[in-house]
Amino acid sequence: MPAVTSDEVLIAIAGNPNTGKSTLFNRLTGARARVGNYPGVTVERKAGPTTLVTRRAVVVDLPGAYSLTAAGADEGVVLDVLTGRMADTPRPDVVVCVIDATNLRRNLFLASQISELGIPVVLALNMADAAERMGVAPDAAKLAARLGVPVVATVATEGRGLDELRRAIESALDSPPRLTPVPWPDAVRDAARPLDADPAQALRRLFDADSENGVAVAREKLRAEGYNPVAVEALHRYRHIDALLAGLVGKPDAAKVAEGYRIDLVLTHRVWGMVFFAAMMFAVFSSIYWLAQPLVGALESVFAALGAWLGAHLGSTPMLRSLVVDGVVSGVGGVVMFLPQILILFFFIAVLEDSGYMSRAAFLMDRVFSWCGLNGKSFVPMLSSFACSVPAIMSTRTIEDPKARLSTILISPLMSCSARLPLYVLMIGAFIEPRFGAAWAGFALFAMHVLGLLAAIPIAWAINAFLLRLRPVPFLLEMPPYRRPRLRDVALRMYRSGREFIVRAGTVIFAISILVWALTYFPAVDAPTPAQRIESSYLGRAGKAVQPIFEPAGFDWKMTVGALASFPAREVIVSTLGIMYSAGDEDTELQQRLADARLPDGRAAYTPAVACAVMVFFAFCLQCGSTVAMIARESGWRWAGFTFAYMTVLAWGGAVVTYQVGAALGG
Amino acid sequence: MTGEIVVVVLVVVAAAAYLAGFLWKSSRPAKGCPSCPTDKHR
Repeated sequence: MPAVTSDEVLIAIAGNPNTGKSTLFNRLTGARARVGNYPGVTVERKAGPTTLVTRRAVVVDLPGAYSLTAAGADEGVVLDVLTGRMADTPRPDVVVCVIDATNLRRNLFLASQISELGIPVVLALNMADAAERMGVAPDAAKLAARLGVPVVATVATEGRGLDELRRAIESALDSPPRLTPVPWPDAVRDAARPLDADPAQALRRLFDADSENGVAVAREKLRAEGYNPVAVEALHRYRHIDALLAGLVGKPDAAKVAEGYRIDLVLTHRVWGMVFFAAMMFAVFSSIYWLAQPLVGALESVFAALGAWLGAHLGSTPMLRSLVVDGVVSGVGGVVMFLPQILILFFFIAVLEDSGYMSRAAFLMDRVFSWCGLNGKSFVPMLSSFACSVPAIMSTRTIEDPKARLSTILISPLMSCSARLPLYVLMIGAFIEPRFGAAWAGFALFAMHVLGLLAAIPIAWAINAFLLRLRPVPFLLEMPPYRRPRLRDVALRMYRSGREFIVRAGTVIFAISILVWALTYFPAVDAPTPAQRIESSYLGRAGKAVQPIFEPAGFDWKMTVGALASFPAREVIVSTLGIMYSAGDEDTELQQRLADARLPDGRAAYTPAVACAVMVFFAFCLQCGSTVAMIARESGWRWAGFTFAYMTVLAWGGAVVTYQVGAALGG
Repeated sequence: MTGEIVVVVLVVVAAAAYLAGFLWKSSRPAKGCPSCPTDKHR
C-alpha cells in the first residue's frame, strides 16, 4: 500500500463481486490488475495513484462483498478498511461503490450499508451498456436525486464515464453526500444504542452475528419487541431500497434474458453440460499440443544455433564452455522452448474466464463435488490451478467455510499447472506420438490434465471424511452474464504469464541449472567421456544411491536425478535432462536423445510405460517451493507438510502402478 | 586455467546464494494482502 501523503486523498473502490471494480481501478490508476468475468478475482489488496480534477489521490481496490456482515474473510476486510481498523491503511475519504447497473436493487444493499458508516459515497453505475441492452438502465440523474448521492453511468471496460466520475468524486470531497438513510424502527435503534457510542457502529454490531455478551442481550431485547434479529436488517434495508427505486428501473427485456438462459440450459445440463466440459477440455489441451509445434521447432533452432556459436567462441576454456553450453543454454533453453505452449494455454484460460463460463463449470461440478463434501465454489480455485496453484490457493479466500477452504487448498495442487506442461510435451513427443500417432498424443496431454481432477475427488472425500469431518454447505454462486472476451484482457493475460515464465526461467531455473551442471561436472573433471564424467559426478552418485527407490517405477538413475532436482521447481526436470543428455552432443534434439538413451544392458532407458510413469509422478508430486510456501502461509506449515507428504506418496504409488501395468501390457 | 576455475566457482556460488535467498524469501509471510490469514483477520 503506497503511503497517502497529506496532500492526497484516499479513495476506496467497493462493490459486489464481479461488478468490474478491478477494471475501474485499472482505468483510474493506469494499473494492470488482473480482471475476470467471475466472482472473487481480487484476492490481494491493490492500490495505485490517480489524479482527480485538482487533487491527487490514492485508489485502493477492495475485494468484492455482498454485504458488510463479516461472513467471509474478504467481507471482514472491507468493513475493517472502511472503519479505519486496518493497520497501515487510513480510513478512506470517499468510497466509490461500483454498482452493476443490471442488478441495482441487490447492489444498493452494500452501498446503503457503507453510506451508513458516515463515509461520502459516489455510485459508479457500471455496465451501463449491458443495462441499456436489457432495457433496465435507470436514469442516472433521477437516481442521484432520489438517493441523495452522485451517480455516474460508467462502462469501465471502454473507459466511458471516467471524467465525470473524477468530477463527482472531487465534488463529494468538497460537500460530502450521504445516501438517504434507512428509517430504522425505534426498537432497533434502542436495542443498538448501548453497543457503541457511534450509532452507525452500534447498528453494525447489532446486525453482525457477533457472539459478544452485550450483542446477545441487545438481540434478545429486539426479539422481545417482535423483530427477528437475523432478518431485520435485510427486511428494512431492502424495503427502503425498493421505495427509493420505485418507478425508476425498467423491467428486463424477456427475450434478452431468455437468450443467456437458453445457453445455460445446455451448458449446465447434467449430461450435456458434462459432455461440453469434457469436449472443451479435450479441444483446449490437444490444440495446445498441436498449435505450438511449429513455434517450438523455431525456438529449438535458435537455441541450437546459440549453443553452437557460444561453444565455438569458448573452445579454449572447456570448463567454462561446458557451463555455458551444457548448463545454461541446455538448461534454460530447454525450458524457454515451451513458451508457445504456455502462451496458448493462457489464451484459452483468459477466454474461458472472460466469457463467464467458469461459473457454469463450477455449477456443473457442484454435483460431483457434493459427493466428496465440497461444493462447486471449490472448483473455481481448482480451475485456476490449471494455470498456477499459487494464485489459486490465494483465491480460496472467497470460500467462507474454513474447513471447505482448507480442503480446497489441500487438493488444488493436484491440478496440472502450466509448469508441468513442458515435461508432458517432452515425454509425449518422444514416446507417445512416434509410436501411437498424432491423435493419441493430443489425447495423452488431455488425459494428463484430467488425471489430477479425477484423483482430487476421492482424495477430497478421504480428507473430509477422516480428517476434517466437513459438513456440506449449500452452494450459492452468482452466474455472471456471458460476454465476448476482450482482446486487450486476453492479450494482457498472455503477456503477463509469458513474462512470468521467462523471468522464472531466467532466474530460478537459471540458478538451478548452474547448480545441477556443477553437480554433474565435478569431481570427475578428467573422465575420458562426458557420459562417464556425469556417471561419476556428485549427482550421478546420488542418483545411483537413490535409484532403487524408483526402480519399481521404471526410472533409471538419470530420471531419478531429474525427479529429485525438480523438487524446488518442477520445470527443472526438463533442464536437468537437457544438461545430462546434452554433454558432448549439441546437435540432436532432447526428445531424440531420450529416445536413443540405453541402459548398461543395452535395453532402451525409456519406453512408453516409463514415459507414462514419469508423467504420472510429475502430475501428482508437489514439486514447487512456491506452492508449499503458499500453503504454509494460508494454512500453516503442518498442512503444507501434510500436502507435500501425501502428494509424494501418491506420486510414487501412481508411477509404480502405471509402469507395472504398462510393462505388463508390453509398453 | 586458474582464471577459468575462479570464474566457474564464482558463478556457481552466486547461483547457490541466489537460490537460497529465493527460498528464504518465498517462505516469509506476504505483506499488503488484506485477507492474509497470518494477521488478525484469520
